[in-house]
Amino acid sequence: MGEIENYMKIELPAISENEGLARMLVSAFLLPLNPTVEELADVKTALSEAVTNAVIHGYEGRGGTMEITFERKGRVVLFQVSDYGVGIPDVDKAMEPLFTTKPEMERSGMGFTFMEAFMDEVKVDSVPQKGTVVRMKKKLEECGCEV
Amino acid sequence: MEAEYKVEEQVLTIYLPKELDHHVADKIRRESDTFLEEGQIRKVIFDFSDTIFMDSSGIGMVLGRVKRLRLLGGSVEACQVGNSVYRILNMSGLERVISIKRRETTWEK
Repeated sequence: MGEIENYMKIELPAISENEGLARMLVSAFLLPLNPTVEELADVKTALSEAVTNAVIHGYEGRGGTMEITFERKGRVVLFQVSDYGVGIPDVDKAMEPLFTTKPEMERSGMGFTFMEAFMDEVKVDSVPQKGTVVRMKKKLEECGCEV
Repeated sequence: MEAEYKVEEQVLTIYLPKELDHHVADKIRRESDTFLEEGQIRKVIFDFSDTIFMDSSGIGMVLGRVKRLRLLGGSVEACQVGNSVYRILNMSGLERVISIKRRETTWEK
């Protein structure tokens, strides 16, 4: 997709505290693009879901390393959340609304549904016992302002 | 950032924090269940006055309380719901399950 105008790559432990940190980072990264309140909420929610998945499912609460990459070119933004955890045996099943492997933890099964609803594209690559990579893309509306 | 709780007779009001994600939802689940285990509560009111962010973990936590209250013959309500939270509650179909009262102002903090 051509040259990246800006990017940020971070590595952080997959602990629940970092769900909020990831949202703060994405807000800061998008700030120069002057996103609408709704666009910012969309992206924060989608990223929060992906990071929460890495914490709860990828590493099953035991912690591990996750990597988050933020990229932008023009008003197109891309995010990638990677973990080296247990992986997803059936990605299509995992992406079905209301499907969860952890109902006892009161998981709603809406994580991937929100990612797909709030981003233009969501791609999931997963290998059992190797890990999971979630890639998300969204084009922000033109704001008619100087960036 | 912490949730606050108020018990008045059979009603437990939970004042939710600014961001309701997995990190805080787990804690609220544990804390609210200690109130429910005492056996008096028949209604839980989630007060979203301060809340500007919620994701699917928040949905799971609210739904979990709905299930518990049903077993007790009680009910759950959400009040002071702002736009961004309303969008999430609405998309997840929670509006069909609980009463949702939106914040009067349309401004987001």
